[in-house]
Amino acid sequence: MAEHMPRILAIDAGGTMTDTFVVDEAGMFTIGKAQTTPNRESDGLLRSFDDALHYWDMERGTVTQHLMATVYSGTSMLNRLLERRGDGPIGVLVTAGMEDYFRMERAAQTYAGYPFSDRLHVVTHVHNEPLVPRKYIKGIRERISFFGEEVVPLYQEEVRDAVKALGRQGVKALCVSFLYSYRDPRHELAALEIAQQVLAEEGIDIPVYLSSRSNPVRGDLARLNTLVVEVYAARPSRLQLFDIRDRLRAEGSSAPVRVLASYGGTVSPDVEWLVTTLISGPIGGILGARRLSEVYHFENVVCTDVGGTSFDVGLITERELLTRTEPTVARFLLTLPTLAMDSIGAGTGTLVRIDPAVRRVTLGPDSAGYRLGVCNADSGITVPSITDCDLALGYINPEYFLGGEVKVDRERALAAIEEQIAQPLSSDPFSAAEGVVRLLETQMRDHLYGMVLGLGYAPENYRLFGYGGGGPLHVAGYTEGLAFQDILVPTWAAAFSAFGGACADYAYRYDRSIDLLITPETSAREMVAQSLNQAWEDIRNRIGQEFQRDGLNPAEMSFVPSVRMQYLGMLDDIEVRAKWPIDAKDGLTSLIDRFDELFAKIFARSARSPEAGYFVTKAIGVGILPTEKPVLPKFPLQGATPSINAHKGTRKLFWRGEWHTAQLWEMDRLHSGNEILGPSVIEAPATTFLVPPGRKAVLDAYRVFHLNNG
Amino acid sequence: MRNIGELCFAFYTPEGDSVAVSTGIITHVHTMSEAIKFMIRQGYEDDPGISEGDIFCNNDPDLGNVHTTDVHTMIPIFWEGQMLGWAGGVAHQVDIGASTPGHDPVATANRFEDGFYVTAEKIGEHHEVRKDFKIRAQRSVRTPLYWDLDEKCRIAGIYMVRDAVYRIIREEGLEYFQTFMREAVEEGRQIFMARIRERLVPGIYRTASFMDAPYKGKAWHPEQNHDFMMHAPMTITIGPDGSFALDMDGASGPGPFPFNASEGSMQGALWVQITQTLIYDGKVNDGSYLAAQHHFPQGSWCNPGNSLLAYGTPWAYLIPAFTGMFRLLSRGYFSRGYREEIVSGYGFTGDPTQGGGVLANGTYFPVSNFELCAVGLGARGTMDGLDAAYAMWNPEADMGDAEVWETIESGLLYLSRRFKPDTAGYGRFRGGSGWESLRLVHGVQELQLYSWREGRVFHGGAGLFGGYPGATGYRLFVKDTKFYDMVADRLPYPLGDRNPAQRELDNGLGGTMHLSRDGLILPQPFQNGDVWLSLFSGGPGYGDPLERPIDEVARDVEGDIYLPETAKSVFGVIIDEEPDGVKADPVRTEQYRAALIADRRARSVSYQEFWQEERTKVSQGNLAEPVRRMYRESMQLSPAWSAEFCRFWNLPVDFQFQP
Amino acid sequence: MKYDEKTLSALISGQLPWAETKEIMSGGKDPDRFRMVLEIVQSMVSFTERILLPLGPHLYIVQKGTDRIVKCDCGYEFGDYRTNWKFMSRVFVRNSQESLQELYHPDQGVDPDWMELREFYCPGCFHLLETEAVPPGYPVMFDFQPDLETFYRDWLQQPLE
Ligand SMILES: [Zn+2]
Repeated sequence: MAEHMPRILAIDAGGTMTDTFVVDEAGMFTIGKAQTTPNRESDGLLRSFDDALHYWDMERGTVTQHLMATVYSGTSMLNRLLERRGDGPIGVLVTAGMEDYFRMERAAQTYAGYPFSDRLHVVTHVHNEPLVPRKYIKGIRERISFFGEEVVPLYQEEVRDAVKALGRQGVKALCVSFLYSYRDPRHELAALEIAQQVLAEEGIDIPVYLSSRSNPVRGDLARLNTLVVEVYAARPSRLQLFDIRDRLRAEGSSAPVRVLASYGGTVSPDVEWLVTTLISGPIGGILGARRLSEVYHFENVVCTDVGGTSFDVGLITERELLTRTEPTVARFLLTLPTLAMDSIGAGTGTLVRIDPAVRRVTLGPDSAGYRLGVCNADSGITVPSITDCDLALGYINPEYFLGGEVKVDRERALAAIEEQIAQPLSSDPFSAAEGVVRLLETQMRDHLYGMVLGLGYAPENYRLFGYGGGGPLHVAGYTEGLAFQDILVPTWAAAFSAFGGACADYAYRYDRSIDLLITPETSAREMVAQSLNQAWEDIRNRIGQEFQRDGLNPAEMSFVPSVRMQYLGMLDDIEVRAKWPIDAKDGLTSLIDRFDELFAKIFARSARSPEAGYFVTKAIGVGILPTEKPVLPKFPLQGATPSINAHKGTRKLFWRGEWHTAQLWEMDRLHSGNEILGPSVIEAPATTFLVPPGRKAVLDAYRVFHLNNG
Repeated sequence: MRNIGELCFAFYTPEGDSVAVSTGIITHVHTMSEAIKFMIRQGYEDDPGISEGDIFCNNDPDLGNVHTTDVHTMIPIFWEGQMLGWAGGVAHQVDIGASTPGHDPVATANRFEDGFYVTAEKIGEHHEVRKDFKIRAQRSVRTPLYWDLDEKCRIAGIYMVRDAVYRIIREEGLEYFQTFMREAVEEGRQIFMARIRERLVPGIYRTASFMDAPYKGKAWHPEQNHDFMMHAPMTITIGPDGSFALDMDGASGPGPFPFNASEGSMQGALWVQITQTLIYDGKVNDGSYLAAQHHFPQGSWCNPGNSLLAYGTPWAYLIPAFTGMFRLLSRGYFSRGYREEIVSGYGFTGDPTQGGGVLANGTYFPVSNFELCAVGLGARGTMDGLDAAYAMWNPEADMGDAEVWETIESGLLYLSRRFKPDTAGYGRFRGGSGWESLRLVHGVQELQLYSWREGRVFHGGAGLFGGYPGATGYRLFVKDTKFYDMVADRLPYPLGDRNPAQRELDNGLGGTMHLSRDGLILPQPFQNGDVWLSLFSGGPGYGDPLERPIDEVARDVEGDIYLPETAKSVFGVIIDEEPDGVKADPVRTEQYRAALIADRRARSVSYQEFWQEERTKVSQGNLAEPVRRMYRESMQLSPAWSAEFCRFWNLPVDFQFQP
Repeated sequence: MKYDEKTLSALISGQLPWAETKEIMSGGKDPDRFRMVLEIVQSMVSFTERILLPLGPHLYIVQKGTDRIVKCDCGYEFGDYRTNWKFMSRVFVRNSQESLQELYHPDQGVDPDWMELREFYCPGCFHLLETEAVPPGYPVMFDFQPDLETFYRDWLQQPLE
């Protein structure tokens, strides 16, 4: 075993398992896994790190000091929110009369995150348990208008009374969100001052958060939600992150710990608004795909991630990632810039049933998740899952699931499929199981095909990456009949998210609503340019302060300004890169041109509507500092024929109504240049790659498979 | 793509049956189908011709549309010269140039006030909308910008549908596609029948709903100056084979108001109710619709067949009429054991604050608020109804952010949006709560507002199994207020009308209060400082309210769903408001509930006594004028209903109510 | 698809936690439900007549000798199920401001000239079994007339006797 000098530690802490991805100077990597320890995350993390290092025969004590970068992504914050284990009680001040935000949820949160059938099926709609009970929400008389006019001054006495009352109710933090505070924060600032005064008088030491500070963007419910989620779910994570940092430091690491944010950058745990790191799981995969695309010089890429419960698809088009600003997370509408991913609830754990009335297969919406399915005797699952079908069809090796760590029982799976699916359909279990897998893959195919078409492109314009626990197994199925230029499966598909996190920039991003109309009038254009320049300057300074706090030199940062804009009267804005400073003439004109071009690409050309003018909704700035990232090692190409010691034997598998004898291969023992003809199954401890009859997988110099037609 | 109006797209067979549908307000899917069928019946193939590249438009309610503000754009789709079908898109306009601004007018009495009409018109060729049509359309509405945007979105959407069809044919072949079209509709039909047999019980289910249209003293037209009442009887017969037949025989007549509902709008409503109850998981297309037989009697309010009537706001009658369908299906679910599917009806998505105004800077702004899409859902069979989050015409309700509405309606500022106590229908399971919003007129040169909702009647019949209907609406606004003076003195200005028995709006605001139990109000001017209250309905309840667990009633009081006095009078629960929260007293509650049961025993009468008393009112014609009018209309339009009415009250077969 | 008796009992009584209720709502229907619910409700009532069809939280169609009658869980018998059970009920009509105001503030209730609220009680237990919100003089509604024979014979394929 060669000597390794670990440089990068990337962590993906899921709900059950914590993956680590450790990279050395040469770009060689090792993957570790350990149980997640929610009470003290650093425990599981260090164990997972140990697990990764043991493949290199190394001890943590001797290597931690060499780390140059540590990147964390995880679901603990999200789980805290989903499981309502957050911090509280939280006191909230809102504009008087608006105290019912969390009980009304704008109606839209009552079906948020539902599949289409449940969205139609109204009896299933339900309100979320409010993060802040009604008694901790106080209304303050005040009003700022859309135009920024003070229609009702702040009733200061009401602030005093409310803060005093909330303090005595024992709140642990105060959140303030008034209507149109993004336009003019003066009432929130005044409330802050009064609150601090009152709290001091009362001898209470709790923080006060302002929506105009965290997130000065339009949309009162989502802005308030985001502020409250920061306090409820994100703030408790900060201590966990500090603990991770402290323990790595104690072991000699001087590398900063960075956390992956939903917009694709990484930030320090000291960041003012940690809520930006709420969604990071699927984000890592896209960043990994972007990194690979840079290596391969790809322009257009479809990123597909098959997990236990969902199928996530992201698109990189002309090297650009789309960003959305109002995602729905855990059934909350939030204002968080987030790399665009579209998910459907279809994964390897998806449960399969027969609708008795019409004798049709229905998939999900529920999932066995990490419990796999009926094949896992300890799971308590009685309804067959996709994994059960995969197992029945011979796609998965029952002796080698997670490297043999989890015992799965193919007979149990077969029996459940026979009884619950095959018999009602008057079919045999294998045809039934294959029908189920086909249906799942068809749903996945339709989903990603629709996304590509929705951007006005065709599969012929794209390459596709398949990763995640189930990606390599199903990628052949869900791409069937779609003429992608290439289909790529990295050998580290199972830890691809952690890898992607390691590829992220050190970057802070801030958005601000400005709501300005660009008309041909010179004065209007001047005003837009001036407002944009001012907003960008403010954002740049703020990011500079963040870097300064992190002990870095803001002068080295590159600043990327952009706007979000739309045709006046439409509701969908899109993000357009800008130049800073911008001038009212050519600068704005070229911004408009770029917007027109992008709009036509994303929506339909015929829907372009420049006549009424352009509405600039937001000014956005991203500040980036260079950071250590994994290099991708290049291996010499060997012959097409794999070495004999990579061959593990054969297994029967059922494909398109027939039994085939598949060759089995150990993934780690394949070499760059090897070609595997289907029917074959390539196995690794955490991944199974299915090469169907008539297809061929070629391992390239970067240890990425290309799935071709044989 | 989204814009201010909701959009919806669908694909149709050459004969006009829908095959596949996008999301959005799917009520409209079927309505386009009717317009296509009209064009075929009228021989459009010969004149004006149906060719590749043609664009057609319709918004005529008499040809299947709901109301004129829903504009349809349709294109025929051809493949190698053969017509494959149609793609259609609908968008709801914020204004259609009716005699008053807004999308749901109330003052109109005939077609000529409904605004801009496009009657199955060819508006473009060679994939381009004709310029003269664009000019005419944009000059016919108050918001030409939105017209233009909506038209572009519709056209972009239907061309996406066309391209998707082309793609399927290229990939799978023409024959496959045509087989798929036929089979999809047939499969939809089969699934519907299978669902019925799976979930319901064969038999006859009956109910009736009502609505008031109190125009007397308000009308702008002499012929409109009456109080009207709508009657919507509903019978659903589930046949031995799983067939479904909905019959509204006995419905009252149309009238000189905009609440007339075309047959197409009724079909659309039936369609949307089916997709929310029985076919939410199957293929949503006209197959289910074809399996659902229906009869909306010719000449009644729900199928007037008279193009000269006003059709601007059919929702006012149609929404109440269809709450019955939820209740009827729910009886079947109950008997069958599927209690989780039960919904006792829904609140009325009424009180759409509408109008238009001019800001101080001279800019026109439409008032076309859609927050009404979030009313209470009726109580469910296993739990309470959904609070403030349901619209019968769009299962994906979104009341929109205050900050987003004020971006458009910049002269009408929110002073509150909050739950309204005592709006949720009482019952063992309560209906979803309603809510209210209070708006301040500010920064305008001029503004007119109007609205409608039920006020004199419960709109959708009652609750289910002893549940009560949710509260009715009323109209309240205050003009010439001292709002700005109150603000200058930092006085606590009102935030709504939480408890009508102790009105905040009476307290220091001054001015002139308009208060009426009629929800209906015709357009009138407002000025800065005036305040306007909108009331959004709660859903009906399920079961006897005296059986509601007392802790749940205490929680309702704590959450301002019910006032403490209502907890006592309706639920029999004695509430103590203690410093650490609201508590119910179990001992006093048990005693009080027993007393209420004793009251029931003492006050109720035998059925025979009740029957005699009611019959006397009927036989003597001792009924209010709108009620007599309603009965007269129903009896004239339906001899069958008339005969049953006379038989029930043991009246002579030629019995009639006098005008 | 099948749910156990405990789950269905909890569902019926409104005690089933939301997550499980949601699963039942979103999942396919269990064909055995009618039989299981019938067994559960049969065990809940104190009378011994066989329940043929539940009509509401308190009312059942039961087999009594050769008759099929509507019966309240308190034991009160309403007679043949093909006749509207309301004809045997006790009735209270809210058709005055005074009686309506017991339930609704005048602004939020109805105009008694336009509409009355009828309450139909069981003469045995005085539970409120059904309400009707109708204009004065409106015929009493026969809410549901099941086709029991077809239901048992063709749909359930079970003997009704
Ligand atoms: Zn009884």
